[in-house]
Amino acid sequence: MSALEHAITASFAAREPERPALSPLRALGRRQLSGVEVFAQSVATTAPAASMVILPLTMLTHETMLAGVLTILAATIVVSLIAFCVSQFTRRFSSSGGLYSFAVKGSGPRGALTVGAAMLCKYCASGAMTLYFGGQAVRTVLHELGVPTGGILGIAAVHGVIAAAMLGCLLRGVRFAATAILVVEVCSLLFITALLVFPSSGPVEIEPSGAPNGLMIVALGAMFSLAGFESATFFAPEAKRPLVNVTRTVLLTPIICGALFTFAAWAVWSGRGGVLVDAYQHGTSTGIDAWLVVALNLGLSFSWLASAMASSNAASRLLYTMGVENVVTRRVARVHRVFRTPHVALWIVVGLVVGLGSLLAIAAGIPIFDNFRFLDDVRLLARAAVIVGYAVASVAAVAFLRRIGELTTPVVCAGVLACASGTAILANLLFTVGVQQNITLLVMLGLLGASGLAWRAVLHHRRPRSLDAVGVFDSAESHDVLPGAVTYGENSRGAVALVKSPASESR
Amino acid sequence: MALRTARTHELGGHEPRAVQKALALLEAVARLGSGATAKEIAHATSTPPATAYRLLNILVADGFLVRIDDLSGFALGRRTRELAGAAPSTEVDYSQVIDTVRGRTRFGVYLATYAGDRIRLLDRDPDHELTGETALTTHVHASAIGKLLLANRADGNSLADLRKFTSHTIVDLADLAIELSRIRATDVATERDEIKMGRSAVAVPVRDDTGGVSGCIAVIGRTGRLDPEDPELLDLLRSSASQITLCG
Repeated sequence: MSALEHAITASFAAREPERPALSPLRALGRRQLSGVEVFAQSVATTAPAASMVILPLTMLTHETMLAGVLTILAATIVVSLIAFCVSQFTRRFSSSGGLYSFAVKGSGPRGALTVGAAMLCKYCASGAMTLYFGGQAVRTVLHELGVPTGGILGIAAVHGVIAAAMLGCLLRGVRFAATAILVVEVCSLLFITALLVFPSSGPVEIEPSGAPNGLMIVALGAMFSLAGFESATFFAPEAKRPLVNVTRTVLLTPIICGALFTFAAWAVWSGRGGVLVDAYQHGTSTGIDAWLVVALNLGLSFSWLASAMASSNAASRLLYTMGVENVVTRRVARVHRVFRTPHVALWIVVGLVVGLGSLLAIAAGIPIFDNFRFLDDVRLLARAAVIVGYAVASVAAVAFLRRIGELTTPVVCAGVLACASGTAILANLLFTVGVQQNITLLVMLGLLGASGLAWRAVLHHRRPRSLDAVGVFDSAESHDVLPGAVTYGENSRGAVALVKSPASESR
Repeated sequence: MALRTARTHELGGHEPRAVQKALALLEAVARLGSGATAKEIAHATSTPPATAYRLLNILVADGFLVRIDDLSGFALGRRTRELAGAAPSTEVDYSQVIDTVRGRTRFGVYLATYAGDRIRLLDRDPDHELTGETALTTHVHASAIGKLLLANRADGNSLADLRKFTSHTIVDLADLAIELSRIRATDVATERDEIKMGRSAVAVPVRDDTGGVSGCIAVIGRTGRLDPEDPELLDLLRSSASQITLCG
């Protein structure tokens, strides 16, 4: 009789422990999302439909057509490397903290808190930006339809309606939210793809910017368009077969979105995107049918609003995880009794996103403000934050696998390459900001860099126990294990958990 | 062991060896115990590490294995039960039967299996501490549980070293042979101060589908309080044992 057979036979007689091991994240609606819904969350965050318009436009203004297409391909490969590092975590455990939780397992609370602050910044900033763009597109559509939406009142009304719809969907339950995101995203992709294959009537007229580093701008644009592929990791505890579905999503999202961007770039290069570019740039003024402008803006607004929704959703799960760990107040870890969504965290995040998005929109409407700088600052902050997150996560993947003794050569190579490219991009970004002498942004980036250390110091004084709790994940419950085949002990949080058996410790 | 491979075909039909490897990995985890690391498992099954890590991750994703709290090691998951040929529905839930016995006697009640001609306790009484479990499982001549095993597996067991635990331990092979034939005749094994002074025990056989002895229910208590020949207790044990079928 084999040891396995013994264990199985014995399991029918074994008693369940008096204090069973439970997952700290069991309050969420677990095991609900299907593979497609998880995938939708990630794809929507990257807003591919919108990028399919913006990226070719960037290529046109910088006159880098063939090189641009190749650059997009290269950017896809770099992001895929980062995705490969992230997938090392998603294969092994699921957590609602995404990159933040991954960083804990590799680089401890200090690095993790920096990543946590960076990811909160990233998701709130990109949520606000996409909401702003989405709001603008909605207002364009309304304008074409003859509904007046000018002035602060118009902005407030449009944003208010969007915020209410978003919050409603997100609160209603993770499945409902994911389905809503999926539907909106598919609609926008269909719109944009249809417009792209539309043959152009005339040559595309666009003023070249004449900037010297056009290729660099296209490369960065492509890379940051792909950022957000990791947003599915925040939903692992709520997904069915999370270790398979989330890993698949993380690996596939950059590839599929990269392919879509390459397709869009090719379409514009081969002269098919003229209608699209004209409609986006000049609206109805160049004699394009109004319905086309409306359709394009509808597609774009769908894409952006789905992204804003997905970003808010991800940020809420991150905040929730921090609440569970008591790193921020425990109040944000409250979960709605019926819908199983972290409603307090969602209210806070959607409030922040809509507040910041409306601020951007209002600033854009008032000429005194140097509004373009304001929007650029938010965009750069989001970019710096996401790069910090990716670089730390890549290194953390190597450290984590080394700790658990499962390190392989491909992971080391990917980790080193991803971290190197991350650092290079970050250096380039800081250099650009330094040259511009943008003091506000430099201060903001400095604060972001120091946030991990400061946060850890505060927690060390105020709530030393919370530092031990950092790194909660959807750990195995007594219900998941074969009775009698595991040893129970206490983990660093003082909860009942599965531990190494003394017999196997002595080996 | 009969295996249902319906689940494992997901590993990829083009890689039939992956199924074998996956089962070998499960077996290794069962052998190494809770918390065995991926490296140890790969070494124990002579699998290339990268292959082992990949398969282990798949097994975790499907619930056949779980990762322990620090993520460095593995333990068997509940789904491994699905691999067992014996469907759980035909197996009586032992714990219920044993719990009934426990409710009706104030001594420690244990369920042991004789699978592989070794003694393993399947169900230990949570309210009674059992000291010297290793001695109980290794020195089969000195306990009721052990003697019941010997009585039913007399052929293959050569007993060279009959260790004397107390003055009551049977250390003479001839005396032991008489004791074993008595056990075979009565279908009950008893023990008085044989492995430990002050401990008495009685064991009745539990059988498998073919009627062979595959384990036992044993009651262990203080000498003087527990009467191993108490007819009422024996009736209770016999009727309970008849409700259990243990696969050998």
